[in-house]
Amino acid sequence: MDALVKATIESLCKKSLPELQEQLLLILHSGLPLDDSDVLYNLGECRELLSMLIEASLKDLESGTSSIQDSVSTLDSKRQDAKNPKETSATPCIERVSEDSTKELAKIGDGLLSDDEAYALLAEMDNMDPPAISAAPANDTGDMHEDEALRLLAEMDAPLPSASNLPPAGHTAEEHAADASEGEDDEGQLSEIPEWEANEFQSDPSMLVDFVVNTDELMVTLDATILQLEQDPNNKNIIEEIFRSAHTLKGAAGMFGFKGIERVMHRMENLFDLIRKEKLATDSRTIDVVFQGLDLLRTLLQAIKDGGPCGAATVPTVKALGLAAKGKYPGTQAQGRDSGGGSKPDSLPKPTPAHAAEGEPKGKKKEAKEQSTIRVDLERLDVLVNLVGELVIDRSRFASIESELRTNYPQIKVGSNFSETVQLFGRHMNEIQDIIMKVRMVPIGNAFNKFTRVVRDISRSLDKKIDLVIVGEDAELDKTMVEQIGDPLIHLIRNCCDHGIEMPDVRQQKGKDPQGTIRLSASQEGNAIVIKIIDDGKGIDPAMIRKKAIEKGLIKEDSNLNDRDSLNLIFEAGFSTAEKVTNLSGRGVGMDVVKRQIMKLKGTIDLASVPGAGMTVTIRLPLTLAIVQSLLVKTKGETFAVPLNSVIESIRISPKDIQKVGDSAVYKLRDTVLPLVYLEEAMSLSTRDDQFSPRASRARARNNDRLFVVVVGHPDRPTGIVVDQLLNQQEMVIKPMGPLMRNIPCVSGGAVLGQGEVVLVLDVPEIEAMGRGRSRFQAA
Amino acid sequence: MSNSVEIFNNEISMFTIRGELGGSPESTEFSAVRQFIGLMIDREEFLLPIEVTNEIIMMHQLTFVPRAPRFIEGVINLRGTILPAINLRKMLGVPTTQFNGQSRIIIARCENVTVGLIVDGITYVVALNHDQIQVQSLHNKSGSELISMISKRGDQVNGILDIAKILGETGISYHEEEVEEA
Repeated sequence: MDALVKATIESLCKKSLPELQEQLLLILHSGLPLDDSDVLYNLGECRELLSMLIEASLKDLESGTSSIQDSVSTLDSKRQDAKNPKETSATPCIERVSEDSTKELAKIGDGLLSDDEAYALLAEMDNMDPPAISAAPANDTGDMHEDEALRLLAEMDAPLPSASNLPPAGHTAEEHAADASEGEDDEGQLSEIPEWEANEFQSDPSMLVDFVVNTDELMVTLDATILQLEQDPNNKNIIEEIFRSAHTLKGAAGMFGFKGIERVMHRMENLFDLIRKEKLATDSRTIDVVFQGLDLLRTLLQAIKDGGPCGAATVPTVKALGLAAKGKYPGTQAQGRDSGGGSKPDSLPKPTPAHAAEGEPKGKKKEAKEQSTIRVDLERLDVLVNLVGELVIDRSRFASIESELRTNYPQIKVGSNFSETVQLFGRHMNEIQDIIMKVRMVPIGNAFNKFTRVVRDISRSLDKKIDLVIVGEDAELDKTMVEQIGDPLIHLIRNCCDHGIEMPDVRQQKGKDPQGTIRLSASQEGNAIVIKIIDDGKGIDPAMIRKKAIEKGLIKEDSNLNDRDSLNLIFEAGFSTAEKVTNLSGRGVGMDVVKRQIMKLKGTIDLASVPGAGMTVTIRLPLTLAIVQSLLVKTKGETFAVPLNSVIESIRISPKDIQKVGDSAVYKLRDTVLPLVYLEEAMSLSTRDDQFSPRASRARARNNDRLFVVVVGHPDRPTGIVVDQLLNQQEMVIKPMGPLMRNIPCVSGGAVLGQGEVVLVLDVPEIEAMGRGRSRFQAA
Repeated sequence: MSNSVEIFNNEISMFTIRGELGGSPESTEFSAVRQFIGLMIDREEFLLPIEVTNEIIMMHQLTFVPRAPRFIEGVINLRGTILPAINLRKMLGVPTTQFNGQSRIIIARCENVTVGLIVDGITYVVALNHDQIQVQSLHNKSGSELISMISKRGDQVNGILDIAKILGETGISYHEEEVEEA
């Protein structure tokens, strides 16, 4: 028995039966006709319960049927009784039907009833209800016989024990259900069963998120279009639109196994189908029912978002929709009554609020959290972030004005006041900046989760056994980064599946677990996020890469590359090692595109491999692109900014410590040899002077007693940038410099400083490549 | 700003308005009239269609951009937006001089590109009838063609600069990049 049904039975037993009793008592004492809708609602609930129990008994014929059947029949009789006082005219008919259904139920108990028959029975009950509804208002005005009411009360007492028997009854069935396992004996826990355990799709969070987002959109469309329809009831296009939306929603809900939504949507679809075929006119009553349905849907969707079970009160709305679809019942009713068109909205407004109240205690905690979040258009957020960026610049301008005032004009009286304000402003700005950056942060898990499916699909299509382990999906990253990191990661993971992990038999021969593992992990290291993709496949042989690269003319035959450099050759354009092109990879565009995308996000990518044992791809990304801490450096009078996330350290060296290897300068920093790049050369700053000569400038540099070196890049393989002067550290917003300045080498953008001047931001990876390129090619 | 006065005599000031600003009888027919901004480059007056100009600003602090196309003098900060500034002197093959107090930057746009054009001074806004404009492209010494039309006002003949050609001259394709890698 699935969780939804269990939860439904549970909530029905707990809620509706006592309510019904209360209401019937009320009717008895006061004879209030106003309570009709409530009674009808609860009658509906009982009927729902009945049908569920029938279903349950169908599923579980071998045992527990007798108790269920008992409950059903008592319930049935109770229900019938409940109607009796108001249906003097309809009583014989109902009694007959009820007798029939009891008989049928007996058959169910014997396991003789097929599904079809059960449905027929349910349909019969369906038919039985409408007269009840129509009869009820008709009798409102009539006198309620006292003895009848007394009989009702007496009989109400009888069913109640049976109602309390119901949970055990449901329980019996549940015990025999295959996967009812973890301590669900407790009734309280029964209602907490998460609904999406019923279906494979529901266990996939990203699919579920997609579903929720899509349905949210569909709901908005539905709302809007239905409102349009109300204005313009005969517009075919609008009806078509609604029909399509309803159908899509139904299909999606069905796929995910959300039966409540599916059922409501099904009825709504039917309704609109009729409207579409002009068998039913759209008037305000129909629209009211439809909106009632939409409200219910919203509650159900909220339940899905909260992870709680769907509320059970779909019945009244479903019924209302069904009735509206049949058209005749509300129609004839309306005619039969003097109040006319008001009948329908009057008789059924309560269910939804009642249900909402019912759903509340279950998802209380989550709902509280839900209320504190708000969906914001990303564009607006971007504008906000940009504005905050501007304010950050303003703050530094204020600060510089303030310090100038303080140092140069100490005699000004307002100075201290001004300083204080500026400091306060700075502090507040810091907070705003922190918050605004956090607003944009989303867990990287959003990008990761879809890979589970990707890997599963790929491993199926390749007949490999691959397990994807995701670690650290909580690490937070700027939203745009999370969106953009998805594609390169998919490429890499596909590569792992396709090239990395071997076929199960090959793996077994090698003494590995036939199931390959890909580990996808994310962690924060300072100002960067490190994403690692580790597989335990066959790895890559650097020698092979080297051979391939020579074949393809990417490197010279005599190039002397270490293993690591060789491996990273696969990120070069036009390099693909796949022998044959599959639909997954091998088109030779994969890895270089990956690298370019990562570079675009100001990240780095690095590859390491142990042949035969697997491969590790390490991606480092800055946390955010919007506002970056930068180090300002000065060379030959020009100021440049180096993003701090790529700076490892700054050192002061003596020019005589610089050694030459071939034509390139290196410095021995502790135990590593640091290739040096002269910023003035990299930026061709010397060309501004007419007497340009790198040697001359270097000679001049050597004459200086000290030089500053900014060590940048990956900690394992740093590069030193030689500059004349270190200035300060500042927060700045890196801005693009427009299409004309797109391709300036070694410059990734510009930023505006405190005094309003523009400073160029260095593109560290390019400078690194320059340093390495020099040493690589010139050493060869 | 102080040493500028001797280079330009006072009658060429951006505040002097010569010519008729749409006051002539012909110009009442609006569609026939085009307005131009007069600008000075090395004592010669050029015109720039007013519809491509966003604004004219004082000479700004320029940031030198290494390895940029040689006409690009640097980048400027226009209220938070970073724009490249093109030195029209360099582009027209006129020897460059120090900027002075008369120097202005015309913020001009073409399609999606906004650039600053550094000029030696602004003269005035001039309205021209279409019969005062002759379509005629002219080459400068270095063989590039920045002038697509010539204005005739009595005896006075001025070249009308074409912003698209100026941008084309930078040698950079500034059009929206469609090929953002496959």
